[in-house]
Amino acid sequence: MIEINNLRKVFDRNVVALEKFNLKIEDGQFIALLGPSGCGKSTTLNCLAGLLDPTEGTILFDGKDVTKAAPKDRNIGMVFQSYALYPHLTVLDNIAFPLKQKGVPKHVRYTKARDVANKLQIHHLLDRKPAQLSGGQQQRVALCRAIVKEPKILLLDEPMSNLDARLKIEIREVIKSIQQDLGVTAILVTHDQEEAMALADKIAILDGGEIQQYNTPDMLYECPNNLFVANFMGNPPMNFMHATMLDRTRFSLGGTSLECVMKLDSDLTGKQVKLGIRSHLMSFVFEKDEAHPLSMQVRIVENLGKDLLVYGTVGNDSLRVSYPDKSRFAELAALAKQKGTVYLGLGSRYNVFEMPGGRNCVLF
Amino acid sequence: MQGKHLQGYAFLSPFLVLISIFYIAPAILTIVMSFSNLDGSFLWEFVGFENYGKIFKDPNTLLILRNTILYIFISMFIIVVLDLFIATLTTYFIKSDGWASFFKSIIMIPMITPSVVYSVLWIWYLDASDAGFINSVLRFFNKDFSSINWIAQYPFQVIILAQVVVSLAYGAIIFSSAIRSIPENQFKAAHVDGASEWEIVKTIIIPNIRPHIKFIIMWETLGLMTNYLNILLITNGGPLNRTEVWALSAYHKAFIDQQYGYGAAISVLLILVVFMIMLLWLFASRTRKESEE
Amino acid sequence: MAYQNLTHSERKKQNIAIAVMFVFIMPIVFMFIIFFSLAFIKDGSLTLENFSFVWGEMKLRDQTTIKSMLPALKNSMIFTFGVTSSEVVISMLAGYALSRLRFFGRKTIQTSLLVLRMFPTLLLLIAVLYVLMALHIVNTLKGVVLVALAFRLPGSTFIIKNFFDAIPRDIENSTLVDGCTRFSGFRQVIIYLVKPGIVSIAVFSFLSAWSNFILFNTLLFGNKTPVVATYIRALTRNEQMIAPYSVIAAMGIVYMIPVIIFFVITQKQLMEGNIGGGKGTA
Repeated sequence: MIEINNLRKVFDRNVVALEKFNLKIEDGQFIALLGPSGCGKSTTLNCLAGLLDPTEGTILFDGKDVTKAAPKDRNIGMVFQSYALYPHLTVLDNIAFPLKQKGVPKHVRYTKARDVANKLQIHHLLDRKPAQLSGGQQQRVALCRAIVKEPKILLLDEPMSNLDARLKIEIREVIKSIQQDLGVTAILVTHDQEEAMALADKIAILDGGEIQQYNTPDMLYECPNNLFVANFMGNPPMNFMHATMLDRTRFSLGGTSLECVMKLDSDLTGKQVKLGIRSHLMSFVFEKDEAHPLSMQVRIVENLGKDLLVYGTVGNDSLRVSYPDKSRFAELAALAKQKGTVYLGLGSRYNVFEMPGGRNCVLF
Repeated sequence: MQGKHLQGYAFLSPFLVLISIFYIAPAILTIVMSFSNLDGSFLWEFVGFENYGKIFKDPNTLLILRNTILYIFISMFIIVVLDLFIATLTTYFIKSDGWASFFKSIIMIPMITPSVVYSVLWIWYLDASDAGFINSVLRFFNKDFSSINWIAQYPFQVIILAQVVVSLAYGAIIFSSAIRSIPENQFKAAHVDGASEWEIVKTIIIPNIRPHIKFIIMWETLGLMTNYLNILLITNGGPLNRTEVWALSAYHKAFIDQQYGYGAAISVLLILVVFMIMLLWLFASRTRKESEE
Repeated sequence: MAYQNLTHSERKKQNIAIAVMFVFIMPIVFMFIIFFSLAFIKDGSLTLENFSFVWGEMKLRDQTTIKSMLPALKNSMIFTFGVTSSEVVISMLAGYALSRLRFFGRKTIQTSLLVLRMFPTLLLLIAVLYVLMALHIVNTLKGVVLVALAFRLPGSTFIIKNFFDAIPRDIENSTLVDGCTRFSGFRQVIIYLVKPGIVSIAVFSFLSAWSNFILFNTLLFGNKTPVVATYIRALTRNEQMIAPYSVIAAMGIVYMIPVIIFFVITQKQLMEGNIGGGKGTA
């Protein structure tokens, strides 16, 4: 088990990259550190690897304090964003390199290297030099090198950001199956929430050096802690609308007074809030009725193949709403041209974020 | 943390020790010496600015200054122009790498020739007697030609020529790399627009390598100011100080006349000028870097 | 660019350029070729007699005797080997430290590198002489080696440091994760990545040390430790050639053989503008 306790990292000129960072990772889990650039995820990974010394705090691997330990003493494998293959060595030597450092005799380490290369289907490239490989192939070599010494922990620093869309999906599958086969604890750093949701057992979302939420992808999606998490997860992004709480059960939105069907944890009477609703949890109709009281001006309609996505505005807020009936595409397109109106219902499940601050006040 | 600092110093220690003792210390010592009348007897006595006064009072100083300035400017100008000429020819007009490398290699030969040999080459080439090469060649074309002592009669031209030939390779190669990295598109666009070759040189090549040109100008100027070796070996400043340049006079005063203090003073003045140019350059390149960022 | 891929007008321009370049370099080429061919001619016939100074004393026409070049050759070799090997090692260590390690004063030293490599070292010889005397190593080969090193190190260190800077952090980090210490990672991976830099420095160091004249001229007295440069110079004072040109040409050839060999071997490196080392005269 990996324990990160009160990690704090300050760089030159007082740039605080991590603050009061606490995380517990169980063995064999696949964890994603997710967040925008500069949120501190790479810093955390480098501290875990021993490539950076934290300013304060401790890191424990299975109860042992490794905070000051050198990378080579931590039994980790790491895949870098740039792959960092050794250009003067063949693929085989690259993969066998970690075993060479351990003093493993040549024939043994070459055998192990070949096995791993077989597993990732690059056995035919063993005599080449890295410069002669494509991006995806280099990626696989980097993976082989990381796992050949059977580490307890596998660290992945945005390994797929240099690949094109199709390769990304291919490598994603490879990484996932490797992790499951070997049972290693894997920690992935990424800014791609789709990637994180697809691969990870649990995701830690970071912003400004602090963990915003640490939970399963599903929980992050359904029950985000705050505005930041809600906005980050999901594609298309969540819709947000400004409203004011009139009392514990009603709010005013777009000039209309509406009932709040979600239970809140505190009294927000008179306060500004933001409602966050997923595109596919809202619905609209062409004629106003009781369940669809909000008028929305239609701007654009997109045909996504499996359904339609309608862009519109309610007051000053822009929204995207899914519409399942594709046959009405032409109708909606015409409506959009005229900037016509449809009537929106908020559905039975949404989030209420207290403003300012963005904390989610809903009791799930 | 402390261990890391020690590690750094450990790596650097041979470097630091050598530089301090044999580079920095002499630099400081030179300044100190310039205020003394140290000579062959090796007795120190501080005389304040007396040496500097001597420099101003010396009747030769003006001649030496004139020689130095002429030498530097003329040589530098010729070197830069020829470097551009060679680089453009071998990189832009000559597309074949084989020929380009061939010519560049030939240009490099004078540079890698040891100075003691290089100077003899010129002395032989311009030998005053009838057997001298140039004299023989000229007599071949004109039977009445009487041999000229080239080095004695045109010493200034000779040292400029000798120095230029040796200096060409450096700038030519730097310009050549620079021209090579100009994006092909610019040339294509110019050709499509119907530009003549001369226009291409003027409006594409030169503007693109302007920073390199500035660097070479600075580099060659510094070199010409401080490198007196070829002059020493070919004319030794003569005849009668006609090719004596500032740096060479410092050498002569110190090692021939054994007036170490006086020689140091002459050196210090030159070092000051060099320093100013270097500071100007560092300042210019730093502001350029900042504006690029 | 292959000849076939050029347009007609490009081909024409290339040929003109080649012709122009030939005319341009001809005087220089002739100067070298004709001079050095003198070495093989004595009394109108092809011979190698002019080279006899290499293995023993040599008698000249006017009854003067020239000492053998062997001691000078030996000293030159010792000097060059000493300078080049030390320069490569010391500049590598210093360059690595300045590039990768953290310590107090790093920035200052980095900036001073820029100044030191452009500084006119030749003007310091007066004071250098004094320092050598103070340390009791004046008039020794060892002393000249140390001075030559000190003058050249800022330049070499600067070059190698740039090479180290260019190595991606990730590769170094990768060696650490794969089980290396800084030193074993350096030895197994990093060195290979800066190999072109090392070669470049070694070549220029060799050229400079082998050809060096001024340091020996000013810092050594008497004839205790001749090197090839001072040996040849002793016979070629400006207006008075002690030996005939043919003999000097022969000496020149012998002197330049290692230079030509190095030059040919490292053609590529020199050509790619790695010329930052500069031969210098120090």
